[in-house]
Amino acid sequence: MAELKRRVRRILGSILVYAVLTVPLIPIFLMYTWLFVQAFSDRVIFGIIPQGLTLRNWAFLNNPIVFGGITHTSIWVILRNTLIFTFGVTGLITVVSSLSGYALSRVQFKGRTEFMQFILALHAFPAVILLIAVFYILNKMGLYGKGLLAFLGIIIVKAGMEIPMSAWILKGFFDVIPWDLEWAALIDGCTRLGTWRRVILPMIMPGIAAISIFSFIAGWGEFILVYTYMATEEYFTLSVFIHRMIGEIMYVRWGTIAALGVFYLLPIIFFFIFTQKALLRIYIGGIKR
Amino acid sequence: MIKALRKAVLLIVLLGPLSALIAFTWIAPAVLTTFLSFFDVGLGLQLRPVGLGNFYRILYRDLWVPQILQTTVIYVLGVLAINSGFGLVLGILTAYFVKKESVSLFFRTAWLLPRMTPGVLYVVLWMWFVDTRYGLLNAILSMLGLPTPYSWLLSKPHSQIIMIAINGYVGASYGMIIYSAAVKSIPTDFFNAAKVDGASDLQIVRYVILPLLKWPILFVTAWQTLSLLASYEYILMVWGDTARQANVEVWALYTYDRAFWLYDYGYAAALSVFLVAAGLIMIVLYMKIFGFRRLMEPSRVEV
Amino acid sequence: MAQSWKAYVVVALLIGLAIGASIAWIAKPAPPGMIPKEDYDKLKASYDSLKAESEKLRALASKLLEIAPEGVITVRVWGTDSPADVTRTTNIEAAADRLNKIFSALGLDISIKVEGEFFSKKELIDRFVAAWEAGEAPDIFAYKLIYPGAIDMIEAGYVVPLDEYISKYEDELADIYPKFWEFVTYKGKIWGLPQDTEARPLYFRKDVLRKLGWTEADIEALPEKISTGEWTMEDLIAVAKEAMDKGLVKWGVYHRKGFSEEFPFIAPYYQFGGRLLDPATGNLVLNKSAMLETFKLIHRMAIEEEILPRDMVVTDWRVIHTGFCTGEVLFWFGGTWHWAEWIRVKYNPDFTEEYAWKNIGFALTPAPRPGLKPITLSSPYVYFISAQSKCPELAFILAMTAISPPLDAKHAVDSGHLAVRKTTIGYPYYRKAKFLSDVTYMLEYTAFRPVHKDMPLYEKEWLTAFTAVESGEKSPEEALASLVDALKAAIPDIIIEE
Repeated sequence: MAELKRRVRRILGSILVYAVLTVPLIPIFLMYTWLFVQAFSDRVIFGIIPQGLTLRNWAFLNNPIVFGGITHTSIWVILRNTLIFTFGVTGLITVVSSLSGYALSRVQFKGRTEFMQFILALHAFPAVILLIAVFYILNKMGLYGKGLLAFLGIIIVKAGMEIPMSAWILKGFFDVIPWDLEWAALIDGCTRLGTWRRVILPMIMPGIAAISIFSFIAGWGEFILVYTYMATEEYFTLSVFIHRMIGEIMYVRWGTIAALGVFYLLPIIFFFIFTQKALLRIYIGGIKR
Repeated sequence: MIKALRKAVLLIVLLGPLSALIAFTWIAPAVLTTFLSFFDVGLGLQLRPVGLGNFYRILYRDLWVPQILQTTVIYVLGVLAINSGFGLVLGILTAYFVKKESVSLFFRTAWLLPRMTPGVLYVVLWMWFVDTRYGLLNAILSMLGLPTPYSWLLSKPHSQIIMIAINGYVGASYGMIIYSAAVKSIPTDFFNAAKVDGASDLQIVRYVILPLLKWPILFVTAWQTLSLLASYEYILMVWGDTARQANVEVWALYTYDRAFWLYDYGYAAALSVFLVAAGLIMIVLYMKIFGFRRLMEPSRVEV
Repeated sequence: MAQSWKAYVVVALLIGLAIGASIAWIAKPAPPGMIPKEDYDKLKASYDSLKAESEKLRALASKLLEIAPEGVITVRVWGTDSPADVTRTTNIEAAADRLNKIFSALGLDISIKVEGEFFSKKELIDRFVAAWEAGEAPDIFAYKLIYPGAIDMIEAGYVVPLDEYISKYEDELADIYPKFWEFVTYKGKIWGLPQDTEARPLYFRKDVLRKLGWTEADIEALPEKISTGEWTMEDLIAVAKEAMDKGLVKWGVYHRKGFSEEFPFIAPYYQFGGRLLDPATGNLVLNKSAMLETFKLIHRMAIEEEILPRDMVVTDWRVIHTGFCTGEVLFWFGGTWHWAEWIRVKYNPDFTEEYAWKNIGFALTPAPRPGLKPITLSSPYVYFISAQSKCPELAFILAMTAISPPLDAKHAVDSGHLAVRKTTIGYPYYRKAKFLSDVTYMLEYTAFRPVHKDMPLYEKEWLTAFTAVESGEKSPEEALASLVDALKAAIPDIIIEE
């Protein structure tokens, strides 16, 4: 009897668990079903029922999208730009935060706590208004309209915007590495930098992976910086390109927009699925203390 | 002496790049912005000093400030409840209750979709979903025999519900990731021990997981409060210039509007100074209330 | 191939020479004193003017050579708005082609290269400011004076006034509708060269009217009846209601989303006698009674008669167009460019040009009630010349050439806009575009949105108050009261009239 009761409770419990996970997702399911169905069909009725399956919406893979006398940039050039930008941001963030995370976790210096608080407080500054000032500064550096070189400027800015968060997360990873290892290396005559490179860094690979994933997603999705700062379509990234296409939604077929959206989403979804294990090893506020 | 010097070099190498990045993207612009708030600045960036004029106008002359303030509070609290609160539920459910890794991966990916979708596209999906004439939302509601509003976008509370939902679906995954990572990092012995003692799942959540998640919760809540205070993008994309009447105009959106619609940079800078002040106050409060300093326990190695 | 081509030319030249010589032999030239004086003067005048023109160009050319001694000048142009309007950029390229030909005919070793960009108008200001700060602003860009930020750009010194060039080249610009100069003037100076314009008609579904029992003659007579003021908004409301009651349409009336010139914003406000600008002081004006009448009209349509959806201002463009194109809606207040858009974009798969002529009619915005006047509104797109242009005069000449008749006609017809020059209207390409020719009469009834720095603020408050009325959140009186308060706070020197 008691066994049955427990069973019923367990089943009810898991129904509840899955209900909480699933029910709020219904709108999302519907929306994304619509998107995927649109991408592969001529017309869609009642929201999610396709009519006439086709690959026509994917023609942009071979030929640039053309409308009204405008030939848009090829999707592969756009993809190249997106990759340059994303990898640039990811690389810069990873290097800088693995240096500083170590310092914040392991090196005792005056004002350390204040410095960490300060980094957190930076987040209070809204990027909205900083934009004007950022562009003013970038222009003074002469980076506007220089094609790929202009990416340098916005990569720095984007990395700078993400860095407080990454430094914090990585500090958490350094915090949980046993001290004995480092002591041993130091006693063996390694310098602090040598210890960092040879002993510590390999141990926080999961942390570095997590940071890279976060930065990769952030870089892949970055919009406003590229939108405002890249003057020519030749140097657009995917999100800005899609924005421009949606601006012309009256003229570009719905299916094409949907296909572009799927084209944008697929790499990042796969990226997440393959790397999420590392993401789940982030510690903030270090539990294993 | 040499030791001190070596330490200085070490710090410069380790923290130099971080400091340079921060100086470049945060400090210089922030100083410039604060500077601009004391001027009447237009598109050409010609400065006409107005002293505290912009601040005076915001506090005493601007008719919309009370409404915008109210909307901002509703927005931040509403979305925060989802991002931090519901994100916690999601994190615990996917990391603890759902035992099968592939299943929890599926849910995690699904919840991450809105975050990974480009904003413009995500907004189009929503607009389609809530459209009064062709949207699926009303179709579903009327199928269930529930009343449908004349518009989901035009008047509160519906407009504010949609505002919170649109942002909440994007934000929930942030908390979800941090929390599930935290739950995963709890040694399984803890759970087993509790189970042996006869604790139910709910009791494990209450007495084992939640206490251990104190710091992540604090971090996510603090971080998200500040992010939300400064965010406006989705509201802008859905409502455009009808945000005010729809009661979804938040402070950051108003700031954006002033800067990039009316090209009144000085006023916008002054508006954002208020935003920064609010953010800083929140941080200090969080630090005081939750003893934030404990997060930054000092380094134990001395060379 | 090339060989035979050359041979043809030589043969043609020889034939030409022979004909010329024989004509000369038949019509022996009169001795100099024998030419009638008028003819001689005419010839001489045209020779002189040609010479003066070429002198102007030579002077320009030497200026250009100073800037670019190697003889290649790059001019950058940014066109904006929908992709159908790409001729705003390509016409400048065509203009440069023409100018290059003239230069080489004059034996000048100069060539102009155009680098064109085209994007949506929302992107213009931010991009321009960023480019300006870097010293990379385009020479020419297309935008409207009433768009957000345009006046700020003028105030910031980003664009050059054109008065000097306009008087220098007044002969070439004489056929631009004089009304437009007024519209491109701000603080006493002319800032842009009108590039195209449009009108804002009332579109109606002929098929629905037929089902209501209207004869073809009734339908054909409707635009005329609206022009004379005989058929008013009162009739429109009655017809819309009838069609809805009979289940022929889902909605009687749609209007656009957001703020614009046409109904239900500036058009009815002007019709009710309101004005937005006080010419004496240059300040903006709110006429309370005209605004109240406007709000009452919209309240009647949306709330009392329920012929207009209460959430119109947040309705998606796609939903709007699909609704009207498929015949779910009887009346729509749009722009002349929409005609071309409906044919091109399949909101309704059956919608062809033939379908359009059969089922869609267009007219002025009717008078709100008997005794008032019908109206339409226009707002020309203009070419601005940036202050960073190394040779603004060259930029001006290119812009001027880009709006000269054949190019002007091409842009107008291809993008569904109205021409800015009277001459263009006579051009075959334009005449053949039946729709454009049919709506051009509307320019006689047109009015403009004022050009004023604070107008974007005004519009924002207006839209807010309007939305409150249309959605039924506020009564017209309450909305007016809050609009007055908001405008007084936002624009201190606004004039409030009773």
